[in-house]
Amino acid sequence: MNYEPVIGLEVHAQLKTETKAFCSCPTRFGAQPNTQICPVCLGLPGTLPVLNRRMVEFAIRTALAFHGEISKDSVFARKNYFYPDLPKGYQISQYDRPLAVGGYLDIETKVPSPPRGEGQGEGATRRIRLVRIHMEEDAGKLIHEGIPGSEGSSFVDYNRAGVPLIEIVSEPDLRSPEEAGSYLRLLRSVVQYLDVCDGNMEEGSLRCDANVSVRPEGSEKYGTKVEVKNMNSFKSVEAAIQYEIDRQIQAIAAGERIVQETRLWDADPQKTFSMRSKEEAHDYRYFPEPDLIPVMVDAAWIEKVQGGLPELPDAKRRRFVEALELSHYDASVLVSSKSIADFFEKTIAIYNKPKMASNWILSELLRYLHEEGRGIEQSRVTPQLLAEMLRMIGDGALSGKMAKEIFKEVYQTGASAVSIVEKKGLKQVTDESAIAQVIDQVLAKHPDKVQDYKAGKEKLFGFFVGEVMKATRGQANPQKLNTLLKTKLSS
Amino acid sequence: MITRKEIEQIAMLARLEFSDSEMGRFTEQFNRMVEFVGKLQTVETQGVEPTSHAVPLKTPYREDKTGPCLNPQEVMNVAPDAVQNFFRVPKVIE
Amino acid sequence: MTLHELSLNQASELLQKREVSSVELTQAILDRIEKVESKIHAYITLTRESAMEEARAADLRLQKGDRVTPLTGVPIAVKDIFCTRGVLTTCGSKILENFKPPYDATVVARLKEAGSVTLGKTNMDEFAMGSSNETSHYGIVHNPWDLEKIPGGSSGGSAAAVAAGQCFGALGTDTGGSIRQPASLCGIVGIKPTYGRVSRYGMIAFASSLDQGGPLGREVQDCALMLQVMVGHDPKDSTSVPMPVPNYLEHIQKGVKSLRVGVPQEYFVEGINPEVEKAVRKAIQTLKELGAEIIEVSLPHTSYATAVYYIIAPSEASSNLARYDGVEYGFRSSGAKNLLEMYRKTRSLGFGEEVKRRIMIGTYALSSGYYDAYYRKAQQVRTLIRRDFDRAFEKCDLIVTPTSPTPAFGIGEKASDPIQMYLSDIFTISCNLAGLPGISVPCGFNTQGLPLGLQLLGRPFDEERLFQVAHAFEQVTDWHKKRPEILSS
Repeated sequence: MNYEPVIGLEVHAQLKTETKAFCSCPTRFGAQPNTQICPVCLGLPGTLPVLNRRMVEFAIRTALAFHGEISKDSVFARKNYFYPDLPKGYQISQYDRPLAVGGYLDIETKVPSPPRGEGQGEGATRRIRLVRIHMEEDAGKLIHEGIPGSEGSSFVDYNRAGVPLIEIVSEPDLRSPEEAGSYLRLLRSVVQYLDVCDGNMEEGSLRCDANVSVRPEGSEKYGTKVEVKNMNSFKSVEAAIQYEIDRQIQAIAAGERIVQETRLWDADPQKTFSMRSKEEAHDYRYFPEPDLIPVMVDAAWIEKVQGGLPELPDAKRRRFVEALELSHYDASVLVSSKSIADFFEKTIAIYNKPKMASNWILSELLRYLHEEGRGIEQSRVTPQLLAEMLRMIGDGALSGKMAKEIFKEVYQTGASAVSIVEKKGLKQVTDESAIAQVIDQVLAKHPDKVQDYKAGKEKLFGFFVGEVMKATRGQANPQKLNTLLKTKLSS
Repeated sequence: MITRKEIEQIAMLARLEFSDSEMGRFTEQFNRMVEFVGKLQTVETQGVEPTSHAVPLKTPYREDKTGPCLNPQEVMNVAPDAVQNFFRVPKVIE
Repeated sequence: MTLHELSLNQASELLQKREVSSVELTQAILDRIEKVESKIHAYITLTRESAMEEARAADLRLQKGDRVTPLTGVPIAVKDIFCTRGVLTTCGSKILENFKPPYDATVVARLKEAGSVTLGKTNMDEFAMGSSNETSHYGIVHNPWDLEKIPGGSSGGSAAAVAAGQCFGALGTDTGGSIRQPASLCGIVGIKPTYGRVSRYGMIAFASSLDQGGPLGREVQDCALMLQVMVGHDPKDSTSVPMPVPNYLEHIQKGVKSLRVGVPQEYFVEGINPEVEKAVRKAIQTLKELGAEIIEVSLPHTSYATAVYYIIAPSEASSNLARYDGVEYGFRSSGAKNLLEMYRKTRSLGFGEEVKRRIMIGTYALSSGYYDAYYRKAQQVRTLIRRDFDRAFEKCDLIVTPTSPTPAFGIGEKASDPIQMYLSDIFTISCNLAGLPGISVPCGFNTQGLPLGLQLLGRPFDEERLFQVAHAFEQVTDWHKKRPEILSS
């Protein structure tokens, strides 16, 4: 029997606020343990939460970008459970009245699979519906090893406790690990465009849990779902979902029943493991947080946030294809990350040759960055530097071949192409008389070959070009060289 | 009637525990309390909005500006168990 | 009259006139504490040295005329539920036996700012859960009028300290009557302000939607002076109301002429002590003689208030008290084999029986499958109780009732029967559920010489009127002038 996977994702995105959700502690990542805590986020007796306006604004921004419906009075609730990373013994979250309900993301997919396919082939999209977006506070961090005397102990750092999060919950509309991957990538790129989350999965500013089930193809009924946690990269999300699908299908084939449970992904050996839960089933005892007032969001606020929304990847890609005549593929790669798109747009703002800029960014710059494992934000090549080099090429001051070499150096040093060319004395020779002089020298050196060429051995043209280039250390402008050489040889 | 077993489950949720000798008396008291508050079930509340706060209030917001933090050393000095500016707890097994 | 027998406003006046120094006043009170504290046990922590320092600083302010307020130099006591920077704050519990907060509660900071002198932290029912002060981990408080009787609770230490002359005024908190009931049982004045009037920041939470801090004093004016400093919007408390505050003393003499005073029939029911009823009826007569119009009103859902309260308060408490887990501060049970055991042992040894009972009932009421039947239902009935008051206040300007159905009862008398204990708050609870201001003023003594109290309930944010009426009543009665005899020797 064939089985169809059914996947829903719960994504937690850390909001890029300066301060925590309910107190004024900074949210900087990587600070010394327990240096970003105050009586409020440490849950000291008597302390009270006060809501960070920007947290709400960022959450509204995200919900609007995903077409969600913003609640006019959403309510914070306490989620009660004991865990050492939770200083108050409850997490302030939202429960039955979240900030936003509904909404969707249109993901690109090669498979125009039902139920909500749109178009086919390149550019085909599938609509993944959202259940809700709600706000909550993050928990602290538990460390289990690496500290002296750690035998039998765990250690708690509350720097992260109280950092604002939004949770974005999808409907179970995804049908493959790849779709889950594209959903997550698109979601990340959108929150980056919105500038509400830096989207760093390794540092945990974007976290993803997956609800996975399988059902016989054609069946309408959902199978028993399993929650898979602990994935910290796009790859691990896809791998964990694939593993879980295979595991469930095998289990069913072996006549076993799927148990509703939470499983943890372990990257080595690439398996999911059942969380040993000898404890009682969770009962979070949600109730409205009495220390906070319902979050009133009026139409004026929504309108203001809506008006300030940046151009999102979809629209940007369409514009790149339609107005800048880039290929669909190139445009997609450029908009996949806000920082790449920004880099591209800044480059063409200085030197407006979109196709050329796109080629250089996609083929050269991203390749180098990838080799080094760097993000484009950390690139030593700035849009200014790239644009400058592109202009030199466009003006014929630099050949494509030379440019590749120069670019490597721009990439490595962050120096401008102009200065590198000057330093190396590599300036392209465009002066016709200079080129003509070298041609004359070369032809004079090889009278027999000139004879052969004139007798019909036209292949020798390349030989003469090579010799001229050698003599000019590759600096002769190729077009000019070609024209002049042809004239000389035909005379 | 809430059984002793149910009370044990509630105690687990609340991270409390009761000795055998406490349990008998406690179960009895607990049931009397549940019976006492149970009289609310007779009140007609169809369509009545619940009150979370008796006084009408507007959401107050805080501007996103950083403020002072505690000195970790001082915090650790009063912690029941701390190592290198971390709070220490018995091993958490997942 | 010796210094410790003065009321707060009298002491304040002497300080302003520089007829007495804060150091003298503070020393007199510390001497009084020395003399009677072993019998009363009103304090958990005394801060003698810092009190004397504060007194010296206050004298300097008075001398220079620098930021002088009516409270400058006045020695007061603070219920041990308010966080005080660097000073032990136990909330009456073992679980906070070593907790020294790194910050001051907003009201504590405001009182310090005003120049008052803090004598120490007063005894209380553990986490304010109790009506007799018997649930304190730090020992029982004795009623100054009869040492065999309870002082009421949960602000029992504060009330007893005021009554016994161990301070001029004290801070308390009131979740279901915890200021008014002990004030009534100790023969003093205590006011619970409107919910949202006084910042809860730094006041250790029992039931967040009901808790409210307030003052206890010998006279109505004492409370007005203290409340004036405590109130006002606090950005650190999201439930604090940004509303202008009137000057409570400005019109305190206004009297009760032509005010409509509502008497709810549901408050004079079976179970009320006849001597209490008689004293309250007489007080109503006094108000009438002063020119008030007495009107019968009805608060039909009164009989459900206690049940509503004993769902909402424990539910919120079960969550508020989850933070006491032995990880970041306070008591931790040693020798636990694993995390779960550490939690359970710490909490079981750290909390007393009444607190555990309420955590349990709250956990149950919020648990899956019971939420709608208990918590939600209680919140709905709470709405009905509020509406009762809304309707009543269409007909009257304030409501009078007894504060407590009985005078102070014997130590140990109700300790074994939680429900009987809960019923001692039947007249005070509705006020918290509806968020209203309520004040208790002395209105007589029973034949055994135990004080009785009259409760006045006002419209939201109408503390000013409560002060006016209570003050007018006080002017024509002598109850507030009596001092417990047992200790006068």
